[in-house]
Amino acid sequence: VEDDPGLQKFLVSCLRKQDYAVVVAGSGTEALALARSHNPDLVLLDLGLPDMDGLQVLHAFREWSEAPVVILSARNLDDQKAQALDAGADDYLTKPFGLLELTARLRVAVRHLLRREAPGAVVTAGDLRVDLEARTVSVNGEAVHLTPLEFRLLAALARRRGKVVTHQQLLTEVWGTGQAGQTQYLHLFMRQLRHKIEEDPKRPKYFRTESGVGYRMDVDG
Amino acid sequence: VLAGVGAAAVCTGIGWRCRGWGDLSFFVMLFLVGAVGTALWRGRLASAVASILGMLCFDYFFESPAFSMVVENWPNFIVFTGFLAISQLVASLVHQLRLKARDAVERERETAALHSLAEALSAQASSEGLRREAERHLSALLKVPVRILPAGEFGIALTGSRGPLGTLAVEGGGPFLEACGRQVALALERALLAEEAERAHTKAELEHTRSTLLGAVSHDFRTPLSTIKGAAATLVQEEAIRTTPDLLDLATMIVDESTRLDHLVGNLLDMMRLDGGTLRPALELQPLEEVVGTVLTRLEPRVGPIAASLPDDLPLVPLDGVLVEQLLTNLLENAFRHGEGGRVGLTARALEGAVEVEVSDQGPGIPDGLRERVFEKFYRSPGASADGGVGLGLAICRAIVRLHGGRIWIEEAPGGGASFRFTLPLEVAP
Repeated sequence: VEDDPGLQKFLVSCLRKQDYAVVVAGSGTEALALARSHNPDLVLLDLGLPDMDGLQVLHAFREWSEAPVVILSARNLDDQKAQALDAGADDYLTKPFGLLELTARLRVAVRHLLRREAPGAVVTAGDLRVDLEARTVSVNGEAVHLTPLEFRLLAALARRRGKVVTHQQLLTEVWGTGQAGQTQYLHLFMRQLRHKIEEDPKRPKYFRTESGVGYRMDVDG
Repeated sequence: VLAGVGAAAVCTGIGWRCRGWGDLSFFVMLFLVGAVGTALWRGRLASAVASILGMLCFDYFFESPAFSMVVENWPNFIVFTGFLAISQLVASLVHQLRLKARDAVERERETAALHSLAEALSAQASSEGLRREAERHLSALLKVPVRILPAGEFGIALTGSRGPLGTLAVEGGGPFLEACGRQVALALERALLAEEAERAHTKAELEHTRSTLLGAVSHDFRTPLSTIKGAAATLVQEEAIRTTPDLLDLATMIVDESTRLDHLVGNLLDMMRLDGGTLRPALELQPLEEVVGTVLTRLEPRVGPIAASLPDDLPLVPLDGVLVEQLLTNLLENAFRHGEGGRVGLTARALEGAVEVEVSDQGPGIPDGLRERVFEKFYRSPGASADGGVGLGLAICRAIVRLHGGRIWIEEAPGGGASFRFTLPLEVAP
């Protein structure tokens, strides 16, 4: 869903070349109509649309579809990104973006789509291995001891590996509701987690910071 | 008149009580004191009444034969005439004295009023505030409503050195009001001139920013654009080239220059946002390490290794992650650009109530005289090559640090090179 003809053309040609079947919409209304008739597996949604707010499109789409949605947004609109992610978007790309970045994000989204049917208990990234059922974590074969809160934070990120998890989502998931705005706990626990898992916490490999939005556990590590 | 009658009656009464032991001169003095006292007390008319009535009473009651208007001794006529003349002369002198005293009091009051008006007006900087203050002050002073209207209305004209400034609309007139009008006009002209100068200054500054911006945009934006256009046009027009290795070169050029253009646009937008005063930093208490981590992972693959060291006991700092990330990125990129391939360092230390961060390079450093100027908008170092930006990177840094309530400055790094330092206070004033 993209209203700029130039970018639309570019995206379509790139995606078709990679064997995606593409349906294009230039407005929110058209997008919702086409979504109904085609039931897409994956949606690439620009937030700045001529007829309605991209967030509205997302809300309407989320009412009946679970398909991954990747947001395209302008620079410096971190609030908007966080809102979109909280509203059920799976990922975002900041304009202008490169082709490599786009295809990488789409691959992650598709992988999620496939994994959704068979959720794995073990998540690995590089040397990091997280067993969500046995609640064990190891780096390079060595067991890492985590506190229950640290593990819950790690698990929340691992379950959505490759995706940005917003501050709000993490706070709700790890600390429960009623902690809105208490992001300093989150930053602190993230620091502890990195110090236990990352080789060099100043150059994190596994847990990336998406400033002003949230955190992301890297796919490759 | 009543006072005059009363004074004559009192004098007659006193004279009557004392008639046994006084001669003529006693009664003359008594009535003279009465007349002069009345002049002091009630003015010239009362004194005249008192002296004429007094003289008649004197003649009737005390001059022999008593109880008759007949004057027995004709020299007594001289006494009566002299009495009248002296009492009237003294009365008029006293009267003039009274008038003078009243004038002096009045003048003093007016001078004080003008003085307080001038004082009240001088405290006002804007012409609008001055108008309001003049209306308020004069209304209170004169106890009638006073308004300041545009020039040409009915009232006392307020005239400055360059023409009419307005009208003092008030009932009445007179030299005092004129003087007030001059006072107000003077102050009004001063305020208007100051405002005009201020406007001219702002306009000149805006003009300067606009022209530098225009210059920067036309040069810095068109250079990458022309490369992109040229490379893309070659790809479209020259069929032969599409099969040669040149293709990769041209495509790379397009990518590089687009990236640069994007960076420039981003900087301009950021500066406008930061400058507009509308941006509220989203301050969150967090470890500096997190922001440093994001910057290092993003920057190091592109520019090279950064010697970063953070003490473990750094306190949490209230900061806007996105902005401080940009601040560090700008400083580090700057260090690589001017560092001549030397080591680029990033360190931090805890101070009393703040955290100080340092980004240092081993380049030629920045001479003393330029250490403030490099933070100005659109400033570019004399030897800056075309690959630099529009001269906004460090201006953005300064704006971000200020938003956090800190300060940024440059020192000489040990062993040469520039050391950029900034502080982030732990307590941020709301």
